[in-house]
Amino acid sequence: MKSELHRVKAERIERSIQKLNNADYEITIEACMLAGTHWFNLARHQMAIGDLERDVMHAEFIDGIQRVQISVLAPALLPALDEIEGYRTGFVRGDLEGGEKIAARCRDLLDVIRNAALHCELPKGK
Amino acid sequence: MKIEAHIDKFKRLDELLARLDPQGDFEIWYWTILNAGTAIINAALHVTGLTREDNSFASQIPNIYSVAGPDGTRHLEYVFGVDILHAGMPKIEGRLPPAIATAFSEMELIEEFRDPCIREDRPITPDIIRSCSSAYAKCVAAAKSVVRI
Repeated sequence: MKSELHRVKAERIERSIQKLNNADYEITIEACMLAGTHWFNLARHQMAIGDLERDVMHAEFIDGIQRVQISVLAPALLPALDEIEGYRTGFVRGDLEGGEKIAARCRDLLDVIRNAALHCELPKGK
Repeated sequence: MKIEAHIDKFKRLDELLARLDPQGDFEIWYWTILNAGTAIINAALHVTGLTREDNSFASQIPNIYSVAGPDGTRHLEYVFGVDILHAGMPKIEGRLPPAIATAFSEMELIEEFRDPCIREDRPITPDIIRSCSSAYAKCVAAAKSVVRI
């Protein structure tokens, strides 16, 4: 998908997130993952990392080389998205206590991801 | 998860749908029916004994689950025959009872829209919303006939 469409999708999902309370923690976590993944794909386009014909569905599964490249150019991006992905097992597909606090945390992480995606650029010299 | 936990999750997710606009909030609305449908199907599978209720939680990788150790801390393990992640993942061996088969096939209809409409840029149309909404209603009715809530 083209990078501008990732931005449109991410912003649409973010508008919907405003309708959710932290008590809706499963879907808040999922929505932050979905919007965050669109921002992540936009960032890959900006940095020209990986096969841009194929979008990444789960950032946790990208290869080690891309992880290093992204960590150099946008250090905050992957840790934030990985953290959101990491909450899905226990709070979306599990029933751990404290989902509301995790939902609030995911909203903050989405801010980090968006900010990183909007400020990353090609490696110097490329 | 335990049956009661699946049912509780289903009820909360199903109630959330009333606050969402299927067109304007399509991505979140769709993801909510996906999660709600999976929750009620898991409850139904446990009730029928096709899978067992357990304190393990599905990861993103088939058959890898988060399991609590003796001190309560969680780690990943291979586990078989517990919660499904999606309809058909992991695959359930053997012939499915009609109500479960119906719930699965309706969820599969919903899943067809997942990548095109959420991850990609297929336009959201009233027809797509009607298809998902109808499949969700049929899936829930079939699963509820087993769970009896």
